[in-house]
Amino acid sequence: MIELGRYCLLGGLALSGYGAVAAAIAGRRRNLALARSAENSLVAAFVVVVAASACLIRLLMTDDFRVQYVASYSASSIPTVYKFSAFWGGQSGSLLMWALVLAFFCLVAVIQNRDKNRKLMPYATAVMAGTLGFFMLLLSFATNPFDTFPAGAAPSDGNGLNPLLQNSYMVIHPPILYLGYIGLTIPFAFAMAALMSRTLDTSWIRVTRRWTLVAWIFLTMGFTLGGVWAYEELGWGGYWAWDPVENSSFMPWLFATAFLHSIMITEKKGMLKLWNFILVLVAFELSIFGTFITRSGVISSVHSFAVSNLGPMLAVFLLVSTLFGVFWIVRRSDQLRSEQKMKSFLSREATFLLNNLLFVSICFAIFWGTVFPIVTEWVLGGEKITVAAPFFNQVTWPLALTLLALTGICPLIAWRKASLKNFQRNFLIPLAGGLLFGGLALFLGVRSMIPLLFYSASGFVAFCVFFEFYKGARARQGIRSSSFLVALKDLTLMNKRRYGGFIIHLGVVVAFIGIISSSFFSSEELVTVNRGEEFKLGQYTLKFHELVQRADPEKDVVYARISGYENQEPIGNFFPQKHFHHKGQQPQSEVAIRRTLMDDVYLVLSGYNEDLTQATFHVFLNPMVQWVWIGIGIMVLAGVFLFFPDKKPVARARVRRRRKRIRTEAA
Amino acid sequence: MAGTMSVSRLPAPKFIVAGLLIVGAVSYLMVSGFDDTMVYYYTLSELMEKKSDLAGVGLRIHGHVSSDSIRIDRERSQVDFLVMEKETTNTLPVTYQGVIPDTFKDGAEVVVEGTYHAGRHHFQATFLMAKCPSKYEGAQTASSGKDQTSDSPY
Repeated sequence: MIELGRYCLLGGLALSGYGAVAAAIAGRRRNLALARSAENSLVAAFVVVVAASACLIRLLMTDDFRVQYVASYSASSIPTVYKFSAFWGGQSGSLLMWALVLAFFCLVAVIQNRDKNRKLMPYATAVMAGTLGFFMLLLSFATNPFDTFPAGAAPSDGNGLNPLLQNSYMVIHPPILYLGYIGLTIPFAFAMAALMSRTLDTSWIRVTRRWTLVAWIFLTMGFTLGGVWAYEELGWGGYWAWDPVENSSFMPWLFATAFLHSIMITEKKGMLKLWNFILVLVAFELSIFGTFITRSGVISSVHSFAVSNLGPMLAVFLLVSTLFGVFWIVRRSDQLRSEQKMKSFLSREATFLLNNLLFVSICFAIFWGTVFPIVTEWVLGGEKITVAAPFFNQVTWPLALTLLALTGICPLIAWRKASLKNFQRNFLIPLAGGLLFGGLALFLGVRSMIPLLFYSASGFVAFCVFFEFYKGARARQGIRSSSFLVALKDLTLMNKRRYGGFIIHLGVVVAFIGIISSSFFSSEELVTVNRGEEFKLGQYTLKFHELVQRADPEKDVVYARISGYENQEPIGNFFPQKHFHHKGQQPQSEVAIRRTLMDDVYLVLSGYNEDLTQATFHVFLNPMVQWVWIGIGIMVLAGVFLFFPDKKPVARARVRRRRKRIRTEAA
Repeated sequence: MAGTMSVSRLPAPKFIVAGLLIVGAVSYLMVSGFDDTMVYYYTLSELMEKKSDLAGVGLRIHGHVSSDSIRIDRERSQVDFLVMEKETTNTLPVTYQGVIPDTFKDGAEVVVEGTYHAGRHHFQATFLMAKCPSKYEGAQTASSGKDQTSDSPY
C-alpha cells in the first residue's frame, strides 16, 4: 500500500508534466491530436491521484503507524471520522488533498470543454497541468505522505489529532476552503490561455464566470466555517481575529468578488478588459500565497503548520507564476483596450469601477498588515513590528462602509451618466429606508457614529433591493396580469444574474448588521463566583450551581452547571467545560452558548479552585452573532442559485411555440 | 483593434484625479492605522538594550515562563510571573490581568503584549498568549512525537 501510494505520486507527476509540455506544444502547432493527448493525461493524472489518496486513507484507517504521517496525525483510539479527516489534518496529507481537488477540477474542465473553446483548451490544459505538476513535485520529493520510519523505529500508536481539531466544523472546513482556493486555478488557466492564444473576446469570461462563482461560494463557506469553529471552539468570544491565515483566505475572496463584478461591465460595455486579467491573476496568486503563509512558517499564526522546507518551493512557484502572468498581460495589453470611455462619475461604469477599487484596496490593506512583520524585519534588520486586529478594523471600516453603500447604488444607477430623474426614481425611497434604519438604531440607544453609519447604509441597501424587486414585479404584473408573488418568482427565475445578485446583497446587509452589532456592542467580563451564587450578564441572571468531574476513556472533564434566567423566566442550563485529553498536553475549554437572534450568551469556564467550590467564568454577551451566519448563508444559497442558467430560453421557446400554434390555428 | 474608434490610452483627467484621491485616502488610512496600532516585537535581550526609549510604546515580548514563578490571584483574575530568556539570564516580572489561557503554565513559551516601565523593570501586560508546544498539529515532527504520550496533564 505504501509503495503503491508512492508510485501513484510519481505517476501523477509524470502525467501532469507530460500534459503541460504536450499541451503547450499542441497550442503552438495547433495540433488537435496532441492537445487531446494532453487532456487525456490530465484525466489519467486524476485517476492516479485518487489512487494515491485512497492508499493514504486506507493506511490511516488501518492504523499503519509505520507511516510517519499516520503516526503523527492519527491514533488507534480516535473516532473513525477523525482518522479519515487526518487525511487533511497534516502538512503532506493536506497537500495530497490539494492535488486531489485540483486534479478533479482539471478533469471537469477537460470534460466540459471537449468540444468547446478549442482555441483556449491547449493552453488552459498546459497551465492546469503545470500547476498540478508542481503540487505532485512537492508531494513526491519535498513532503511525501508515504514516508516511513526506519525499520524498527515505528511507534506502536500515533499521536492522535489535536483535540481542538476534533470538531465537526474542522472536518469540513479545510476541504471546503481548499475547494475555494483551488477553484481559482481554473479561471487563472483560462485567462492565461486567452492571452496566449490571443482569444481576447469574452469567451474566456464565459468559461470562468461559473468557475469563479464556485470558488467564491466555497471560499465564503470556508472562511465562515472557520469563523464558526473559532467561535465555538477557541473560547475567546469572537469569530474573526484578523489572523494571517484568516486573512489569507479572505484576500482571494475579495479579488474573486471584484472579478465577478467587473466582468459584468466587460460583458455589457467592453470595458475593464485588462483589469479582469489582473484580478484573476492576483486572485490565483493570493490563493497560492495563502498556502505559502500556512506552510512556510514565515508568519506566526495559530494556524501554522510545522516549519518546513516547502516555503522556498512555494515562493519560487509564486514568483514564477506571477512573472508568467504579468508577462502575458503586458504582452497583450495593446489589444485589451476599452471599447468605450467612461463619461461620468455618476454612472454605473464608474461606480462599478469604484467598487472594484475598494475591494482591491481592502485587500491591499489586509495584505500589508499581514506581511508587515516580515517586511520590517528584512528592512530594519531584526526589528519586528506587528499590527493586530485594531489596525485591520481601523483601516477597513471606512472602505467597507463605502462598499456597502455602493452595494445599493451600483446595480441601480444609470449607465453612462445618471440624471437627476434617475436618482429620484431609484434612490429616494432607499434613502428614506437608510434614515429609517439609522433612526431606529438611534432610538434603540446607539450613540456612536460608526455603527449608526453602517446601520443607515444597511437600511439603504435593503430598501434598494426590496424596491427593485417590487418595481420589477409590478412591471411584470402589468404585462402578464399574474399575481404579485408569481410575478416576483418569474422575475427572479428569468433574470437570475440580476435578481440572484440582489439576494446576495441582501445577505450582505444581514451579515453586516450582525458584524457591526457583535463587534461594537458585545460585552465581556470575568466573574469569580462560589457555589450557589448568582451573577448578572446584561438582562440575564446566571446562577452557578456546582462543578462536576467526569472521566471518559479519552479525557477527563470538569464542567460547571449554571442555569440562566431572564426576568425570572428560565432560559436553560449551561455546561461550560474543561477537557483534559489524555493525549494532549493542555486542557481545552468547551464553551456553552445560548443563541438567539438578539444575542448570544457565551460562557467559558476559565478556572476553579482545588475543592471545586469556586469557579471563574469568562462571560460574553454578543449581540446578533446569528445574523452573521444567516447573512452569509443567504449569500451562499443565492450564489448556488446564480450558478444555474436562466429559465428564459425555455420560457421563450414555449411562447414562440404558442404563438406559432395561434398563427397556424388562425390560418 | 483596427477599425474601432481611436481611443487614447489614458482616461479623462478627472478620473485620474479621482483615482489618485482614492489611492491617497487608502494610503492615509493605512499609514495612520500603522501609527496608531503598531506594536514592536522584541526578545528580552533586545528589550534590555533599549530600555529607556520604550516608555509608552506598544510592545510584544517573547520568552518562557520561569518555573515556579506563577502567582495567580483568582479574586482579581490577576497573574504575576517571570518571563525568562532561555539563552541568557535575563528575566522580566510581568503582571497580567484577564483571561489566563489554558496553555499557560511553567516553562510555556509566551508572548506578552503591553507596556514596559523601565524604572521598576516591570511589564504590565494586556494580552497574554501562550503557545502550546505542539502548535496546531498533533505534533511538530514525528520523531519528537513518540514521547508525547507521557506528557499528559495528569
